[in-house]
Amino acid sequence: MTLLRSLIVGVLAVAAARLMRTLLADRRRPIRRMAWILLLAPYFTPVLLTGYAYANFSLSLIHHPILNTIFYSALLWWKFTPIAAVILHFTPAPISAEAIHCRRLTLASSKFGGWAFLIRAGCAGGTVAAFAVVFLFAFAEFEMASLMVVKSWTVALFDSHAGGLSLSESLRRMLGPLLCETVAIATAFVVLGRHQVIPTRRIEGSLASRWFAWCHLLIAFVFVLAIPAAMVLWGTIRGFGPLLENFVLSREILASLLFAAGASTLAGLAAFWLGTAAHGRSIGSIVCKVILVGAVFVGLLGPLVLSLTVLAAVQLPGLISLRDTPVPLVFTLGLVLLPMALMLKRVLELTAHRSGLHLTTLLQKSPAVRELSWKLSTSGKFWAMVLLFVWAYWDLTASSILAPIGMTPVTVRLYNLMHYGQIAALSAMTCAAFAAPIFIFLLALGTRRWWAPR
Amino acid sequence: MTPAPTPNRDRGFARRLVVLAALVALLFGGYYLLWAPHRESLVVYCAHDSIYADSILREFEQETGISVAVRYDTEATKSLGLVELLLQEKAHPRCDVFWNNELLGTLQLADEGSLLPYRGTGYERIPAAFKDADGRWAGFAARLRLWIINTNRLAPTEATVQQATSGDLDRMVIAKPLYGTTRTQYTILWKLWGRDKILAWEADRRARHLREVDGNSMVKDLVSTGVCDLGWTDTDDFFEAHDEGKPVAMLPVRLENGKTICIPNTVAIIRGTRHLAEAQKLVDFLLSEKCEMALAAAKSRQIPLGPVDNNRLPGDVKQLQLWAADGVPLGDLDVANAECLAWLKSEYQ
Repeated sequence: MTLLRSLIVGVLAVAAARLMRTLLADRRRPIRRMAWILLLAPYFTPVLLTGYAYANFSLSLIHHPILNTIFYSALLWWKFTPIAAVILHFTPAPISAEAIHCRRLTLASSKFGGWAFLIRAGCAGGTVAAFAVVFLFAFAEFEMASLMVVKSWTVALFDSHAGGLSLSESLRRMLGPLLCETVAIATAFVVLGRHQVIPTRRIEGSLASRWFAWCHLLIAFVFVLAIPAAMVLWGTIRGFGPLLENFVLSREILASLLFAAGASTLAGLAAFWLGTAAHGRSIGSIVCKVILVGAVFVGLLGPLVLSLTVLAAVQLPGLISLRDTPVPLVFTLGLVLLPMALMLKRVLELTAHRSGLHLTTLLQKSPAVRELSWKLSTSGKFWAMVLLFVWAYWDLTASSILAPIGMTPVTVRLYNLMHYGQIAALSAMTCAAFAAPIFIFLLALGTRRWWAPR
Repeated sequence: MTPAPTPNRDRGFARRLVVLAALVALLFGGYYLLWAPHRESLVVYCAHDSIYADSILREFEQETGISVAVRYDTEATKSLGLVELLLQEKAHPRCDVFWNNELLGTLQLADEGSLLPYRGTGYERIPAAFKDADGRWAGFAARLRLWIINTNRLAPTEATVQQATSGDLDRMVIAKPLYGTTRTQYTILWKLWGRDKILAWEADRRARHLREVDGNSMVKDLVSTGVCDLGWTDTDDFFEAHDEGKPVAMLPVRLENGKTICIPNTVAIIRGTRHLAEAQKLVDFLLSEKCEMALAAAKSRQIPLGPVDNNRLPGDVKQLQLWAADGVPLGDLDVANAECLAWLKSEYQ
């Protein structure tokens, strides 16, 4: 069931993402910017928020489980289309549309022959990679499926494991899903490895496709972000008083902030240090490259598979002393974040203002130069770290399996409370959990000059 | 051609990340010093709902100065997850005190030899029917199994329930019987009926489209919103809907012999505890009149099992006390528990 659903979501996401390329590469900056904001906002919305908002609605569909599954699948489609769109944007076909048209005019090959030529030329590479990655994300999704009472292998495995299934049996049951994930990861690796990654040039699209793309972006924004956020805010207004009287989540929020800081720093270090060291052909560079590829492969397996494996590892005699420390969770989250960290690093490299950056190195050191350097280079990395931090902060799967006693992350606590249904105080708590990383971000923003190299 | 400055800048950024990593390590250290459980903290595994248990445990901390580190169960796998974890950790226990929200898991741990006997002041005030004769566990603050009925759909009478459950069960909902108090109910039926009858009964109910969800709170939500007409839940979940003004009424679940199902919280000390004196203090605290009164006065309206000042009990709880007096004995469920759990695991895992 999960497999079929993920395949369908993958196909639909790629189809929608292809139509969005026109908007994302539009020549008018305001249009382009609006399209990117509407595209990325649903993806960065924590799944816990979306799942919580629709938990009651899903429960009301208990007599119509197929409708519930369709609605859940639509949410997955809206949420993961941005991944496909970003991959397609940065992996345009190596042959231009004009060249393909000229070939059609000059060679009288069949339609099949034309397709075969395009595939051989690597024009389908981005599409295949986008499909593989969306499939991977949809297949490994857990939080929304759990809160929306949708059948999924991740929920079944998590509940069975939490309900006492032995670790060896849990790991044995993971083999089938693991195989599916490995195929998807290997496909993405092979295709993207061969592909030259560059931003898309302008693409002309029909009016109908532009309208479809805008509608998709707006619907995704409304259903994945706007409605859940409005519901939580409404609850927050009503539950703010009781929350202030008895605020019980401070330790959990602090624990989450620490785990997120640790994991994002680890992933950032791996990406920006190892990633830089991996450039070149020395033995050290090759070793770094091998470590990175291995780590990325492991990270792409997803938090559930990885957490259960790490949990098994810390039961071993040599590692048992780590069992009650933050190390297993920080390490696991760092690995899960690493592929995203590397992807962000690559995007930053592609969009870097190299000439401008070179000029700043020639200028005399001064606060103005540091500000310029911040704008041209460091701000992107800073934002990348913020994104990694937010992803780690909202993790539920690894946190619930690996958090040490007495350091329960806020997501785990909220997830448990969310099973009691939607109450105003809980919405207020969710809002407080949201506010914490924003507060930290504002604090970090004050240190931005320190991040720019002297 | 302009040289690519990115690698050098990445190194500069990475150096700052090293500084950040050191800072994060320091903050982790600070957190550990201030808040995280130390070796002297009492580790409590708690299957009771965190929204009710947290205030009790914090009060214990304030009263005694003993630091408590709690691990709660997930709502979907109530109590079973912690019991299994305790069994897995038997050789190297981390937990000192187990606060279970039902009895069966505690019985299982007692059978496995995981519990340490203790007969303190709290134990002495609990009636014999709700505690282990050997002192390995004691019950307190009970809940009743109930029919929760949407009063917009059905009249809350025994006859209506009988009629509503005689045909298609599409509009009746229960929690998965692998977990929590629904499992206790199934185990009692297993003991009363035996394997063959309960398997046939279950097959018949599934054929009549009985709905199953993850937990009792979901049962409460479905019935209180009118998506389903009736279901089985516990008193604490019922009162959540009742207090929100939802159209719900309750009837006690009665067995064929007319007995009700009254399920106590249980508390036990884990064998191998490194903090015996502190663990005993917590057990006495949880079994005290003060704690039972606090849980009776809470939104969950739990039923005190030991002697309390009845004048201070909420009216709802007085009604529940009368039903609880008809409770079926739960002390001799060991065999039925093992057999029923094995069957349920084969069905649901």
